[in-house]
Amino acid sequence: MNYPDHEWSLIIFNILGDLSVGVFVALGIVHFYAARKTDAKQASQLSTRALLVLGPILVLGMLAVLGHVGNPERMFNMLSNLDTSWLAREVAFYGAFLVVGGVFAVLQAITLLSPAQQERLPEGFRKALPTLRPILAWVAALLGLAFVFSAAMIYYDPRLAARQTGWAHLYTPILFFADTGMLGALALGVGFVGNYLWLQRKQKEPGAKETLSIQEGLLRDAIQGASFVSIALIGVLFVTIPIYLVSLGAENNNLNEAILDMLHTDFAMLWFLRLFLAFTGAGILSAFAWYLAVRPQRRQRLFYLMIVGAFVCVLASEVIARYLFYGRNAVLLIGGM
Amino acid sequence: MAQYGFYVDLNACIGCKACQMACKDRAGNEPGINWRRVIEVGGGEWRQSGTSWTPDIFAYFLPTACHHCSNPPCLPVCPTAAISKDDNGIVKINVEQCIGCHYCEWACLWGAPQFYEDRGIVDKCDFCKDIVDAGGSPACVEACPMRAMEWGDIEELRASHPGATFAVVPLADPQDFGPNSTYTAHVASTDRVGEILNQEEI
Amino acid sequence: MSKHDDTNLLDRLNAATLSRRSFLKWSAAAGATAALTTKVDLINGIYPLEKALAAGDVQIMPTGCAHNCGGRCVLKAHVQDGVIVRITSDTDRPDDPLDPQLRACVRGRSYRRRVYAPDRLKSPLRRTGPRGSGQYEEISWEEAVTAVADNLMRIKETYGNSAIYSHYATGAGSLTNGSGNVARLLDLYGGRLGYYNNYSWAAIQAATPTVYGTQNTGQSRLDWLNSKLILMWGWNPAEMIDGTNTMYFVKRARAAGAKTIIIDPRHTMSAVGLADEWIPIRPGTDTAMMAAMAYVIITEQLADEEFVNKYALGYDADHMPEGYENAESFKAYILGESDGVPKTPAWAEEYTGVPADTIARIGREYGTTKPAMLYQGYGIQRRAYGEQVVRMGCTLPVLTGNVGVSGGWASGIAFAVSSESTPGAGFPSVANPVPYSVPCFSYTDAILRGKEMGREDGIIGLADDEQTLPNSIKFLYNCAGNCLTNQHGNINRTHEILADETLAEFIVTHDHFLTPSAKMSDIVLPACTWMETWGMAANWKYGPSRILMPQVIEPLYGTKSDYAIAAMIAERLGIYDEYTGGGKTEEDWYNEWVDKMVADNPTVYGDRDSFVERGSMTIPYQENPPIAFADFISDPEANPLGTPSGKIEIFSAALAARNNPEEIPAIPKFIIEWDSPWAPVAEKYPLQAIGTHYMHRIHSTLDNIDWMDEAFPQRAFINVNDAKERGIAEGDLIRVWNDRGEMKIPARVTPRIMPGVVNIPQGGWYSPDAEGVDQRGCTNVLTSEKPTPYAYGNTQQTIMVQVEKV
Ligand SMILES: Nc1nc2c(c(=O)[nH]1)N[C@H]1C(S)=C(S)[C@@H](COP(=O)(O)OP(=O)(O)OC[C@H]3O[C@@H](n4cnc5c(=O)[nH]c(N)nc54)[C@H](O)[C@@H]3O)O[C@H]1N2
Ligand SMILES: Nc1nc2c(c(=O)[nH]1)N[C@H]1C(S)=C(S)[C@@H](COP(=O)(O)OP(=O)(O)OC[C@H]3O[C@@H](n4cnc5c(=O)[nH]c(N)nc54)[C@H](O)[C@@H]3O)O[C@H]1N2
Ligand code: SF4
Ligand code: SF4
Ligand code: SF4
Ligand code: SF4
Ligand code: SF4
Ligand SMILES: [Mo]
Repeated sequence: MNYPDHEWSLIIFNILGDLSVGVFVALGIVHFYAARKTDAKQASQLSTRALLVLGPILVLGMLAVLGHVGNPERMFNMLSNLDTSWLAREVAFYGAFLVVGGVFAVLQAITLLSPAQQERLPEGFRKALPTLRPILAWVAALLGLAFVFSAAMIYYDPRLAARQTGWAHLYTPILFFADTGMLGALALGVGFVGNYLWLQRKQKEPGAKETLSIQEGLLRDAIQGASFVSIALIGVLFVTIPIYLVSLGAENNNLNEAILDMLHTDFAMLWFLRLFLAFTGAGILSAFAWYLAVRPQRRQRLFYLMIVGAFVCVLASEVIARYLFYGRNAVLLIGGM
Repeated sequence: MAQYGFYVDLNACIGCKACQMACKDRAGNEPGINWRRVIEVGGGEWRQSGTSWTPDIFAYFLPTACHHCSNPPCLPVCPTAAISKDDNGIVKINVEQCIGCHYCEWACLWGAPQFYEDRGIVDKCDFCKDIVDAGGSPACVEACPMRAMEWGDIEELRASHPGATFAVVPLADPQDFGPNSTYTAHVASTDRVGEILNQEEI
Repeated sequence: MSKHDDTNLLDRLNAATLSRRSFLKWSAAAGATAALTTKVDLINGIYPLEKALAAGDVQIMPTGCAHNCGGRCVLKAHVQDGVIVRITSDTDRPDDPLDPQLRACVRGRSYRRRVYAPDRLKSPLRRTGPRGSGQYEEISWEEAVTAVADNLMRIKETYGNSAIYSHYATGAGSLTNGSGNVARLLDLYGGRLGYYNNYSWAAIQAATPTVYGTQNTGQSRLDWLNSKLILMWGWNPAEMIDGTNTMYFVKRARAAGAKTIIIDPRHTMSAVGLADEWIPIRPGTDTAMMAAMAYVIITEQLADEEFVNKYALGYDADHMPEGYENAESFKAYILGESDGVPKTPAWAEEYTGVPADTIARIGREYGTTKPAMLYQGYGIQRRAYGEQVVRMGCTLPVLTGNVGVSGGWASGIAFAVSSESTPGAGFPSVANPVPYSVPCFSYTDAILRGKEMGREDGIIGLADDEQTLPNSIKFLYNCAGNCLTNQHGNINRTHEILADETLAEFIVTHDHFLTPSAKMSDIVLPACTWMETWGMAANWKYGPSRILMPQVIEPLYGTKSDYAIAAMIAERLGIYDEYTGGGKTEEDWYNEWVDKMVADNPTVYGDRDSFVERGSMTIPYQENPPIAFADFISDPEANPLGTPSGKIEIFSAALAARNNPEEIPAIPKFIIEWDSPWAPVAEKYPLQAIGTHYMHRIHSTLDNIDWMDEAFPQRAFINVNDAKERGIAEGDLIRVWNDRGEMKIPARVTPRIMPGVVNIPQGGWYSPDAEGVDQRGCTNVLTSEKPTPYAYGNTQQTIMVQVEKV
């Protein structure tokens, strides 16, 4: 048999892809909120740099998925069957997300230019920017969500049902979207912290002090939001997982038994670690971060650490979760056994 | 439209793998890739009483390849549209189009599509389409020294072998895919469920 | 494939990459630069199907398969651009039940992987290190054949022709390849120490005539369809073939109403696909079970006593041969009148491990079902007292009146009496001028102490005034065999003997690969395969066929047929013209044979062109084929048997005259084997081992072929219970050893073998590590060189071992 043991390239692709989409969507929300609360300039200050980091992550994701296919030079063949293949759709949406998101990022980066530099751009273009940006942002976010949905459908697809019973469960899309939400929110939190520390170093510049305090306020708000989202989503996951396991057991077929068996034998340790990390990161550390965020001036360092820690735990937990997700595939051989 | 399929009388199959090798030789497959393979299934216990041993064991062989499903799940999921089903129901992969994404492997319940590391593609049993289209028989079928295998229109095969079934351990439950292999189950397996005894060979 | 990479495999892989490189060189030298990649792809068998199909221009050339594999089948080589790209079999004619296709098995079908194996020998080799070290240098053909010829001349001059010996070797049965070419060479050169027996059938071929006076105790397989019950005793035709289509005839016999019962320690491939019932039995105890069946048949009045006493001698006290009126009769032995031990099913259960009721039931079934067959396999007689199981197996059909009747079977070696054989042709025969012969299984003794070996060692051909052989073996020739070491009993002992250059002074091997036997040779000559030269093959045990094997591809790497090699040596010995019939090539001989066959048997072969085009000829089976002993049964006076008494001899006066009643009893008896669960060795080595003839290989041929190793990996098959006791899990590397040797091999834990028995399929290439521990599972590190008492046959199935997890 030549089932690859575990699909590392797919694990990386899915995590990076979901993370990017999550960050993008969260960014949109934060931007929207920040612009309301302060002004567009401050909002851009907060978000643009984080956005720029996304670029390489997205490309990395694309490279990772190419590691999974045997014949990357025929990549464009993958768009031949949008009619019926969720995989074709996933790739198409991802590509589109990458392109539209990329264009948006470039437009957004313009705000980082000095006013003098901005002046040099064609006038019509400059004028159109404020309308163009949000439209592109929305389109990109929708494409991203469509990508996450297609990715989940690849596995949720009932056409694979008999083989991947463990996959064709509501757990799959919930896992994918929760994953997107948690990773996106927490990654953004980390990005903001980084951004803030970077701004802090430029304190001496004129007007920096004022900006810094506005930014700190925004950062604390954003992290409250991120923590809240991740706590909520971990709650959803922790409700879904037992339901999922119980339904696997209830269906009473060999495949499900094999999966369950695997979870409490070979993969028991990993499974435990996955739950533990998720709970620690998205639950405990996020709660702490939230607690520190609502009480300004207290323990700056610890505050940053909490949010970074929460992200790292959730990321590790997700890697394990995906590993187990594909690991399930590996136990199944010639169907029923 | 006809639908071709395979029939094997498991009571006559000796597990000699002539079918497997005939297929391998035609396709030029390296070790590790077998479009047709023979699964050894068995189980049971030994009972000792005094000086004697009584076996309560059983075994049978199950030759299996792609089942050229009537509603093949491998086909719609392929992103490159490399998989097609012809007028005789033969499900074939166009390896020039395939990108090697493994998705058909996941879709297939029976491990028929197999990945070629060196060529970066997936391929599988094509019902010896070139031979069959030219009026011949699939290589595996005409190799069988026990004359245990047959091929043809699956409805005719089912009709001429009453009781033939796809429900043979360890083949997964067909659900609605319509696999087009059918077997006369081995007498030893009518009231027993075995396990795969030659895992490393398949 | 296996997850167990052993060093041996690694070595082979290394060797493979190396020689693949030199193959590239070779291809390039042949000037095929443009087609190079295509060729290498083709040769490694990875040529994608699409490309093969697209390339077109495939020539399909009929040939055959001619190893000592149990069958003889039609192969068709699909040749593209001078390279074999695919192999098919006998499918272009109807599969007529009376003339069934000769369908190739998994081994013949994988054959191109062997022809193009990267480790093929490519040049003559001369030994540079000590014997067995495997150190060689490449030399020219000229140097190589001169070395062989010079040593032949020297040894002939120093010792005489009786110091020259060519060992049993069954690698090729295609006439221009194989050991016959060397025998003919040596016979023309003044002769050689001959051998008799073979490694296959020594005991059964010697014992069958002691009962029946002939080897032709069987009939056409078509007659099996008339049988009601077939006891398949240690017989596994699904795997060992026993004549192409034999398994198919068993299938048909079942369809025609025969019940089949297999008696074998293993739940064989035949047990799955050919049998209604399987009875596991401890190896080496079959004679006990048969005796107990006789007990049931006799005591329950199922014996056809009138039949027995009319046709046979030795059944009861009233029917003993002249001069032995008071000797122990068969009936007295069975009933325990002579030794106080009635051979009851309960008595047999203790030895055989078969429940007494089962034995009694099978005895009754065989005693009451008419007609019934008891078919003996050959593994049961490659044992310590192989003669007894044959003689006992021949006695049961006599007791039940199954001799000379359609649907019955007299047992024994059972060559068919019918005329189901196609007339052939071959090299002109040459008599061996040296009169002496040694039993082939004693050949190492003939090296060690030939000059002391006499009649008691089985030497035949001694003149009345000669007590021993005049010479020990000094020149050892091995053409197309791996029996010098790998296939012979007790490898470690054999190696010690062959390594001593003062004993066998010169050893030469022809082969395709550097086999363990080749590694003990001073000169190794690279033969071409039968796909690369001209030849033909006839059937194995059954099957009226004659298969033409014209050259399919050019010899690779400049290798040569065994005939061509011998001819080069003949030239240097000054007998070239005699040897080659005036310079004939393989193709000349082939054409001559075909002409002769067609001219002598026009009704069989029809016209030459269509015969050659078809490539093979079979004779359709006749309905109602002749039955063995039918004439004797209808009129025993007019048609006496070839035994001394002219009757069936359950009691053999000839055996009685041997005066060794413990080991060569005059009536068949159960004798406990020297290595058995009841012998002292059992304390140290409690498990019985056997080495069956595996589907992976033809003996050791094909052991190195990856396609075959994938399909049928070399494993020690051990019962679930025995494995559990020793903490062995599926796939674990285990150590198997006894006082003679040791191996490491992955375990296959299976319910399909009797507890207490381990099977290590014979034929793995002996691959010792630095400590001499075999890494490939060569059964013969564990076996003994001790011959059977009467036939001097091999006893390589009688083994006791211990097993543990590494
Ligand atoms: N696949 C394959 N086929 C072959 C060959 C080969 O190498 N590979 N070699 C060919 C040659 S040259 C020969 S001579 C024949 C040999 O043919 P056989 O000698 O008949 O073959 P074996 O496998 O040695 O033994 C046959 C069966 O006897 C069983 N057996 C062993 N010991 C005992 C015993 O004490 N009692 C009983 N009841 N059964 C026992 C084994 O489990 C096995 O299933 O095969 C020929 N066919
Ligand atoms: N333990 C144990 N040992 C056994 C047996 C057993 O049951 N148990 N069985 C015995 C039996 S029945 C037999 S018949 C013997 C068989 O023993 P062998 O007669 O030695 O048969 P193989 O092992 O097949 O070796 C044949 C060799 O010939 C080579 N060869 C093939 N074709 C050609 C050719 O065309 N030309 C040349 N020059 N070489 C060629 C092959 O590469 C191979 O190395 O083994 C015996 N050994
Ligand atoms: S058996 Fe598998 S590969 Fe073949 S048609 Fe059905 S799903 Fe597709
Ligand atoms: S591996 Fe090839 S054939 Fe299979 S789904 Fe992917 S592209 Fe299609
Ligand atoms: S039909 Fe052809 S391709 Fe399919 S398993 Fe048989 S031999 Fe192989
Ligand atoms: S060739 Fe025939 S008998 Fe042999 S394994 Fe295949 S189906 Fe079974
Ligand atoms: S049975 Fe013998 S002759 Fe026939 S294909 Fe197999 S190895 Fe060759
Ligand atoms: Mo043999």
